Amino acid sequence: MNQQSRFLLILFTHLFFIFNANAQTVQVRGTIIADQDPPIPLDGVEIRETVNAQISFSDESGSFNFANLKGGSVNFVFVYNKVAVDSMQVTIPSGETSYDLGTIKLYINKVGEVIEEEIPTVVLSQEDFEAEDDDLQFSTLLTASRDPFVASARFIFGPRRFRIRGYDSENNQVHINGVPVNELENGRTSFNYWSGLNDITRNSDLSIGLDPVDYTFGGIGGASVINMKASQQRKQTRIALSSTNGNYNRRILATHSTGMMKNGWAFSVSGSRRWAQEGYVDGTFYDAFAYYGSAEKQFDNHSINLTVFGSSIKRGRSTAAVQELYDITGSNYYNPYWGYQNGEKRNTRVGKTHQPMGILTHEYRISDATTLTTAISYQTGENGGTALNWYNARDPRPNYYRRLPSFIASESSQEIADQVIDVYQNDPDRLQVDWDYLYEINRNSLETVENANGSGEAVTGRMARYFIEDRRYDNRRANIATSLNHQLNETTLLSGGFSFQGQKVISYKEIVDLLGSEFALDLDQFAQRDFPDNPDAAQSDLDRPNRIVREGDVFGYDYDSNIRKYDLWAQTTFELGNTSIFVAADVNRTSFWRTGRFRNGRFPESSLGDSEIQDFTNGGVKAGLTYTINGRNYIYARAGYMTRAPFFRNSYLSVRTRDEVVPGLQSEKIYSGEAAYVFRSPRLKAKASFYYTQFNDQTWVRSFFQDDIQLDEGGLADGFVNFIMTNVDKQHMGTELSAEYSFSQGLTVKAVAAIGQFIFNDRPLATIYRDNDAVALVKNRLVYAKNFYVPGMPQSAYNLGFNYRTKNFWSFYLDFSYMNDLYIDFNPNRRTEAAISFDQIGSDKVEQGSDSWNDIIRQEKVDGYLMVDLSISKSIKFKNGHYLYINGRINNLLNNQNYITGGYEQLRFDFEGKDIDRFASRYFYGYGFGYFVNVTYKM
Amino acid sequence: MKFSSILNYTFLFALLGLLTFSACVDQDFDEPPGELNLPDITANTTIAELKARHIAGEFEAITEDIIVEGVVVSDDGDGNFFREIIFQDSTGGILIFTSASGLSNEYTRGRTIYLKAQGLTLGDFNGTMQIGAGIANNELVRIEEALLEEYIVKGVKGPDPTPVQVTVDQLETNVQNRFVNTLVEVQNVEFASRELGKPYAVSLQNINLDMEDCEGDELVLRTSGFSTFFTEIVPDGNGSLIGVFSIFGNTRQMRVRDLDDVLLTGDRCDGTSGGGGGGGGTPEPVKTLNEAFDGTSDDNSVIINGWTNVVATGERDWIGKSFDNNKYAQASAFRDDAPQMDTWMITPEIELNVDKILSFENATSFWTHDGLSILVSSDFDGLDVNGATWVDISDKARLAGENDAPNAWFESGDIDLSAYTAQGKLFIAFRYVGNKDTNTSTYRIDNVVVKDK
Repeated sequence: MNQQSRFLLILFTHLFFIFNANAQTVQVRGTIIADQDPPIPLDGVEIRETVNAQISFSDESGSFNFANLKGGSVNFVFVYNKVAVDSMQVTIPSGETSYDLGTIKLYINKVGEVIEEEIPTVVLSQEDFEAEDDDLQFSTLLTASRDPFVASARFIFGPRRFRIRGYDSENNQVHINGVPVNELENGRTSFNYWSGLNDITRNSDLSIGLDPVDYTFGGIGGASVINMKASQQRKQTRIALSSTNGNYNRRILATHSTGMMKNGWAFSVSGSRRWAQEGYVDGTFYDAFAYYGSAEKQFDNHSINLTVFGSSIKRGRSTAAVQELYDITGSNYYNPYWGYQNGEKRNTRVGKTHQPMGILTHEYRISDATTLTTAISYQTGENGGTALNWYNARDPRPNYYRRLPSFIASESSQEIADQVIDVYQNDPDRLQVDWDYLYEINRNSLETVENANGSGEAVTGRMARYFIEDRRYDNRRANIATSLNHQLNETTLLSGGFSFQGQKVISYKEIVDLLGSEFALDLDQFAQRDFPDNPDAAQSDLDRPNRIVREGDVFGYDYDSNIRKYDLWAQTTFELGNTSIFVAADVNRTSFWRTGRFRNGRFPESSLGDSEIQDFTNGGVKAGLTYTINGRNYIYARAGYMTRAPFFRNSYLSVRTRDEVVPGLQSEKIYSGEAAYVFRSPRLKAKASFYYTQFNDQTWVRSFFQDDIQLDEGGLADGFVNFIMTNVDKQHMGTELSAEYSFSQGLTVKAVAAIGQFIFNDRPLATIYRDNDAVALVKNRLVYAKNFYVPGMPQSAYNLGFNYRTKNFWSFYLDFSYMNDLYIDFNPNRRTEAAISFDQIGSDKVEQGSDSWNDIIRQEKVDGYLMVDLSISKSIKFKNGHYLYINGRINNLLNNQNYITGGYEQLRFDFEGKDIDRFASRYFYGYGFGYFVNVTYKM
Repeated sequence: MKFSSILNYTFLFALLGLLTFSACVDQDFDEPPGELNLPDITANTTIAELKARHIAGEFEAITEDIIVEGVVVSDDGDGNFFREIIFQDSTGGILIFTSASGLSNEYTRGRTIYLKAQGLTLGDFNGTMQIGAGIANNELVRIEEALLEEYIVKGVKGPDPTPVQVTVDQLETNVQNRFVNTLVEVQNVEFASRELGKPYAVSLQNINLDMEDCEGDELVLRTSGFSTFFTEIVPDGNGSLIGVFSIFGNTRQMRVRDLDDVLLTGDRCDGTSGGGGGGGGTPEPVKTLNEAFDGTSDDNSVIINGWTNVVATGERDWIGKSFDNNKYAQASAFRDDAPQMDTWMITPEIELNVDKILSFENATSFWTHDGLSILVSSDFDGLDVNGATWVDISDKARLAGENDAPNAWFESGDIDLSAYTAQGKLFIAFRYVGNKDTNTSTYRIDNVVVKDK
């Protein structure tokens, strides 16, 4: 041990003494055994002491220990597999320093159930298919609930783009150790921030819909909490090795947790590494590590916890492609992002994220009835994704539409298109990035830049035609949140809290690889073409004109998104006879503004410095009641209304170049209701629920690259285009049905159905701006998308699952699932009068009701698909109390490689030719046969 | 804290550290080697021999194994060449008609290339020979970018070739002329005095500017409105012009790669050091007119010798269109990028030696507003519409409007121009005014006729 760790050890030891000196407590211990024949010690039971609000876990010998409880009346709840199995109330005589509860027998149906929790929560997710968006949408991954519906949504539907009730993740609030972690900028939760820490995030809980929770008001879709506190991690040391054929191939995951020790301390550390030289899709590498550490001290009525975690992920991306390219390449996983460089596959699109977070949580038990939790957090780090850029050169993307044989056939002839198909098929590299070409062009690009850097001097050298840029959006966040829970009387609980969140997203582009050239010039070539008479127009930063940029330099744009949010909420739950009732309210204020660091040549007056601050005050109310008919039957009904400030991301016309906000920016309004009937008996669990949610006045912004640089037809050079839809109203309604029956022989059968209807129920307005143009290309164009389905996820999903457990700790899962009613993202511009009724060139208008008319306006639905998944697990207990868990999972047992899980119509439309295939839809195909094998050794 | 748990930590971290290092994902990439392997290929035909296979106006498919070698002289780096590679040997030059852009990065001027012509087709565009992929709709088809490597082999990169010095009269407008598609330096030329003060081109349009030598031999300088230098004002001196020579019917055309090719610094033919004066060469005013717009091409700007097609506001001008094999001129603000549109199509100067009559056909579609007006001027200078005095004579013509059938052609009726005969000359303008939001009518003009009364 070196000097430094010796010092730390001494420091820690001193801290123990300081805290211990203040303690006036009793140590309580006990042993838990399973009430079966023969009785066995129960490992991993969570013992919640509700008066002191402390938690302990039983070890392999069944023993548990609370180091310092207050004497007097205490209450223990025994939780096994997230189910409260039993409870006991004890009065500890005053003056005792230690107290033994003795042996406690718990009646547990099947000890084998322990295995389930050990099944790794790894799913062969298709996150890589998300082209630009790093945020995983699968909030369902969080839950550890035993609810059959939630389990299906999580394990079976979740990896297939299912979203509970069709809600976007901004409708679900996620908390870690007392602080909210949803991004303020877009409302979503970046699960990437803790991805890879499965042992720790397993300790999580999810509430769906308007369910009341005691730490936040929650979103309309519910709230999730991940408990990363050291004291909440089961005492164990475990190492897991995994092998899979998904986005990564190998994983190592190790965790060590002390549990709450007798001295009031708890520590937990965990780390993982996941990697693949090439994942499921060609050219996608994966290189990730994650780390976590938590220390907690409990003393008197306090507990203080410090948790630090982070996850670094670097990976090559893939994207959706048009069907034509899948057909030519013979693979539904064709990926145009990579190419060979010196014989190795190199990806142009490398996503990188590493945003570590630290949370300090203080829990203070003011009295037996009152608990105050306060947490502060800070997050920093980097996010980004690389891409190829070019200047005065040919579009290097192999999937560029002008290279498609269908385009060539329309421009010249089918014969030539066939020749091109031959070339592509004989030399598949022609449909990949040609790195050699990029380097060759750059090496030969000697150029002289006059008035370089605005200095009046000329610079001569190899100027980049092609280079790799990193589009960064680094996140800085500081949160403080406090919540108070007060048990007013036996049946009434009051909760409330306040939080302040501040976020700054630093967005800029950085040159990361000049590909053999010496420098690049920070000019916007689109502005250069669009505004030939205005030499300033092309300058990214007027204060530093004609800037020579090299690797590591920031260029293009550089601005901060600043958001602040204050939130105050209160809630009460109480009981009236057989009815339990809750009422909650929330009020919040959101402010945001843009801070630019470049004076853009097109917008010198509105690009530099702080913009005007946008302020929004919003709030919400929700209430519900649960009526218990008898111990097995109950019903509940809930309703809520809330308003929500527009997200920063959707509020600016062209945030990269200027600070002009979307005209008529307004808060969205959401009202929602749900009702359910629940039946629970030892053998049968069943639930039927109905929900209805209306979202009004949403704003939707997409940015994309319009890549006609020089048209034969005399068209315009275009650049980044911002497509803004306002007045977006959506209605989500549906039903969720689940039933699970346990047969006595260890067989459980469940059936789950989620049947939804998520539609746009009004006509939105579309406005289109270019990044470099103050004049709208299109303004408030009515989009005839009423009753269109909300795209991007299956609207209905079904699961029939069989689970069989043997007495010798084998467990089998066989799941059949069917995903249906999936629509791909539609191009609003195609559902406008302009698209179908007339055009500038006077060609015949599209006849109403004709095939062409229908093709243009019809919404594209993709086929439903059946999936079969199989899991097998086995646990072995050694004499020394150690365990070995082996589990294997096969996703898509039938190796179906021909099912579309999502896609989008390109936002370009051939207004002149009315040909929807000119810019055809792009599709994501789900992965074929996937396996996951995991071996865990637990000490 | 127990010592054993520290041991545990140490063990764990050591293990993790070990595994982390062993599980390396290799993402370091060497720069690919830069030297081009010289191709093992030899030419078996000269460009002149290849060109000799061609008959003007015809197409000839090349079925034999013909390889020609030459040096690239075109350069699309400044946007004045587009989707074409022009290369030459000592016997002549030819244009490779391709769909690829960004060519100068690869087929840099001065680079030797080998063209494997087998499978390609020869043709000409109004006299300038091209080689393309085949024929469709009686037009030469471009060689797809994806197929370019099948036909072109890159050789060594050399210096920009030295242009051959020529005089204007050597540049015969003959399809087999060896100077066509080669780099030449035309000596002792200058811009016609009426072109002085103009920019090289207008945004998004190809513009021909008249040039001449001191003997009065004429040629045009053709420049693209997509080029990086089109807004520059032409120089007023006399000197050498370097560029790629081409022909368009009987017109001699030069195209420069960039402004370094324009070396007009000497005194003009009339001895002035620029500005004013200058010898003849102004196109003759016409006495009659019968324009059916058959020389226009679809969706491209109307460019007719002597006519002016100028944008006063916005970005769009009059463009060529066709329907049922009838070509015509059209203007529309529908889906315009610019908010306002005001564009003028103006006839050549009409000499009013006797009383004249104007007639034309017009049509509208998707009518939202009356966007067409007819104006006349006698002091238009051929460039500046705002500087001229215009008289609106729209009420004398039958113009298609709201209650007319869309797409139907209407005769304007005979418009008597005798009121202007005394002025001696007249320009007639077809002006379209609209905006992208509400005034988006499409208007069409065809068969503009001016004849003696």
